[in-house]
Amino acid sequence: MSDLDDILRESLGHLAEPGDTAGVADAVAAKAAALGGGAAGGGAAGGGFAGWVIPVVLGMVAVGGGVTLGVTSAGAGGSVAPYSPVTIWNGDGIPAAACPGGPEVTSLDGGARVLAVARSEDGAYLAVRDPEALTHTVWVASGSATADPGEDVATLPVLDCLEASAAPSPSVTPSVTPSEKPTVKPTPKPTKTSSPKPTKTSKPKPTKTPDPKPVDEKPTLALTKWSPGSLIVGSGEPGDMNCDPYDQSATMIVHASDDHSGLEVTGSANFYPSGLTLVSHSGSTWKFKYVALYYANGAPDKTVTIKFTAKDSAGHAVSKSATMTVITSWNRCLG
Amino acid sequence: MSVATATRIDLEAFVASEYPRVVAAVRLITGDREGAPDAVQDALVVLIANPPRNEPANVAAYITVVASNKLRDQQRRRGAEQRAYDKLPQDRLTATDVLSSLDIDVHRALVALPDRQREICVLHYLMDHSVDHIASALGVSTGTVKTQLHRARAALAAALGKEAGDE
Repeated sequence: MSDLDDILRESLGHLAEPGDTAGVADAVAAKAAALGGGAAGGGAAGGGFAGWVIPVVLGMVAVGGGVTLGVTSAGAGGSVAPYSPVTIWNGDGIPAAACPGGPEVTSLDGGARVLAVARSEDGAYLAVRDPEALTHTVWVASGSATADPGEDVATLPVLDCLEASAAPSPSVTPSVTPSEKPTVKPTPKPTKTSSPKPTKTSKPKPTKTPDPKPVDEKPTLALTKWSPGSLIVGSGEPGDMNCDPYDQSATMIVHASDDHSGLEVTGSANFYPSGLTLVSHSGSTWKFKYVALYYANGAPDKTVTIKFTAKDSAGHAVSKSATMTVITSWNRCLG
Repeated sequence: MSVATATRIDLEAFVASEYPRVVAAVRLITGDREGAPDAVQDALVVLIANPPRNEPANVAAYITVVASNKLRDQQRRRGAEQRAYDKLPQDRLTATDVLSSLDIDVHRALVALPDRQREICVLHYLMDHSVDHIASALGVSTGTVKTQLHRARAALAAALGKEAGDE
């Protein structure tokens, strides 16, 4: 093992920006469910659903003390709690509500395959991902959905309306939405170039308005002034015969708020980028310190732009920038 | 146990244990900070919905390569591969980042490497994958990986003013 290898391992570790796992498994499962996890089953099944199966299962593989993820094809099996793929009972527009037993806010197509994420306490309702907006959860009567073979919706967590809405959601808008849905109609299926929802031609699409979900607002973000307003960096203080590099810092108070919890404020700079750190956070106030690091002899004076971004848990973000004049005085120690 | 029964729980375990590092690796390989999480998630979906004929020797390495390939294809189509890297230094840093000048030098040297060499370096030095696993994920021979890694180390050593030495 050489010095170079140690340097590379250490620096890449510093440079690495890990991904945020929040909602990822849910997003992947939702997308996979939207894709059907494979081919549809062979037409109508006795129970009135398409008999889809998930032919792909994932398994943990212990290899050399590490853990990897194995992939194989097999019949549906094993528990998938706390998320269960279910197929909506065949029919024209199964009503779905924002809360168990609430007024209809949308409808799900008969035969639609959706991902159930929770159930009501009495088991009468299931919270499912809206296939047309996978980040949203709607409630349908349990009797209007049929679980995949081997699945048991009774293992789903019991949540109330608000809890289910707050359940981990896909961190990104899924790029794949269910474009082809299984149908139990024994009549010939429309071609792929035609609408995959043949029943919709004779039935007006149920309105989705008014949206029961509260309108989400972007975070608010306000910057104060830098203190001090400019920085001087260089090699040594005037008269300092040691000529040691020195840095100076400035602070910035940022105020941010949002109607979601989990608001984060981050910052980035386009020069001396490593000098920005979050000093403290309390309530709606974030305090950042920007250190204009000693960079190199002869570096020019620079107007640095520091961009602050407030991002809420729903992914809404707002950014504002503040500039900082950095004067490089690398030879002041000689003066 | 080669392949166990499989479930959503396993997916969650993979996400918890491997996903952060895989996203970090894809970001370093491609320079696409914003696109990396989506690409990794899409690669996982494809792995579930349409698994490869041959089971990957290491799924984390496999997902890293698939996601990186996808992003690079997108970048090439947009003709913006270099632009993505040009943006990287100021875009990727957050308030919690504290990098040394050496880190910045390593980053610059890494960015200057050819795509494949950069990919192999990240898989090897960040993710600690063996040459065999990297070769499997990339679909190339171990000899190819060794050669590319050797060239990458030489280039990085020159850029950093270090001796390449023996690994």
